[in-house]
Amino acid sequence: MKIGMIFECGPQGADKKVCEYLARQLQPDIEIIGVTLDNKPNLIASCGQAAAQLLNEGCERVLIVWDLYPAWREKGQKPCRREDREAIHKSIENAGVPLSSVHLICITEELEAWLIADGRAISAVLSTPAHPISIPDKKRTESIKNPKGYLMKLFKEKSGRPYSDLQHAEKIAKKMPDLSKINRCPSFSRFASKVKGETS
Amino acid sequence: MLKSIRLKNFKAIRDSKAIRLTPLTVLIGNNGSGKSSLIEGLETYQTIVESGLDAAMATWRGFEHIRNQAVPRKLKTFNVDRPYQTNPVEFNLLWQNYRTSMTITTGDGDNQLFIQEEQITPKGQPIEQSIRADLTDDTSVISPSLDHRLNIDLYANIADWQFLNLNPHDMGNPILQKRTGGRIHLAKNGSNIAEYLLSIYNQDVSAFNGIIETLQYVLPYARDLQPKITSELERSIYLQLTEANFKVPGWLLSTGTLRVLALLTVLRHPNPPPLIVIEEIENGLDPRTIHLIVDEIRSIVESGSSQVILTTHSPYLLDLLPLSQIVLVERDSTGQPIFSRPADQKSLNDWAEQFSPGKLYTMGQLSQEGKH
Repeated sequence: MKIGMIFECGPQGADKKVCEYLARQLQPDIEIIGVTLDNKPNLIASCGQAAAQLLNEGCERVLIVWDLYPAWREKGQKPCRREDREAIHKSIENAGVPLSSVHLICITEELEAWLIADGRAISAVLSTPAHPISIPDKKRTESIKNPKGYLMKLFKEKSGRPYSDLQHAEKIAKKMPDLSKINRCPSFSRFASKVKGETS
Repeated sequence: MLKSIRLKNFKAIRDSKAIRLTPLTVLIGNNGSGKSSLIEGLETYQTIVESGLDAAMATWRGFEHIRNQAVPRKLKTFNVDRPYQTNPVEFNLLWQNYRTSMTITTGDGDNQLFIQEEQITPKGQPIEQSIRADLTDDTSVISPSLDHRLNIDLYANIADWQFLNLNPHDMGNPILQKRTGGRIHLAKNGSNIAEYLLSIYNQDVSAFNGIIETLQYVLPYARDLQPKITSELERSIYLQLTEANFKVPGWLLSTGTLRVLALLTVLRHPNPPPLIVIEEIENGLDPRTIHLIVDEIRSIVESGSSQVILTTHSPYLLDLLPLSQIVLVERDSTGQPIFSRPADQKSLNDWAEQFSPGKLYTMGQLSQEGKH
């Protein structure tokens, strides 16, 4: 099975690495063609053309994954999932791609909402043989404000080092013993369902 | 934190007006527009405070080369204690808690150069009179003793400003090791990178390990990177990268590797400088590494430990930033540099919803010129 994935991160960005790793956990025989479009305006502007190209290359379907909140948060900013979705749909339609071939996954607020759901994985990344660390799971992580901020604080407090999504996000995902905890996140659950090709 | 800067009569800048600074400020503009003049102004101010006026002017081979040539000057002699040329060079800085200003001018025939006036005004209080009594022409009132007396950190803050205009050709070679103690600052061109890295190791091993771990994201094949000290003739220090089982000395490292290493060491320093100014940050960096460095900058400014000023010509880098952090530098119809924040233009709001900052820049939509 070959699927396409479109991300708003940069080349080898955290979203791409984590989503591709998790997709392979869900569907080991999957072939993924990942496209990174660097930022949300580019994602919105170019996702339609990228999706068309991915379908031409034989992808069965395309997943577009983005964070509701931008990397740089500004005062008074209120991102709107519905507006994002409408703009992405417009881009897809303009490229002549059927909406049924493309699935949208918007993570609230950002990728780290998936990661903090599994305290076991964060504990494993932060622990050393001499200094084991135990981090509890977080529940309803897509309702938590600024999950990246939470992870940054945790890293600083427990290891003295800053959290960097490019370095640590994939490491955390790889330390998840199973996907039971992360599956509690509605956007991950949707991601998993679309990776497996389930219809809902 | 610096809230704004205003320079007058410095190089091409007649009056920059107050340039509002944010935790991250990114200066963009055509070659020769005046971005570097602003940074050189800050650097000159730092040198005056740290080392004196003569030392600061030595870089420029004399005051006459850095004062704006286009402004008229008159020698004022009537009713003054000391004759002086009008239209001095002025540095005005607005800080979180105070305002500082300094004017520099010359006397009759340009033979005497002096700091004419300096003010430090706590926030919300009326401007004080000059506080330069008993100081030599060369010396700023901002000093370690002033910090001590007023229980402030003004001198310490300015002395710690870090300017970077990296030159990888100077970074790989061995240099004489500083052995007298005290804080090591990274040279502007990055030439003492090995020594700087060693100082981080000595200060905080976990910060050092974090830098190496992050570097491995850029160079997955790199196993280790160490500052090496040689003492065959004199005690010199250089970088050595371990790649598989090979040792690669600093002078063989790629220019991009050296650049990203220097940026990481400054941004990951356990006690980072309060102000980091980096010119043409994107030079030699691949897109993936640009993302990494932007993430590192975001991390340091959001933590509140440093303020960052960048210059760039890269639309790709601009695309990773919000418009609110960008300052455009351009020349007006009279040839004077003007500094504006495109995000303040209401007419740009609709454009900004459709196009990213880098695209708006290359489309010429950020320009204020011709819009008045």
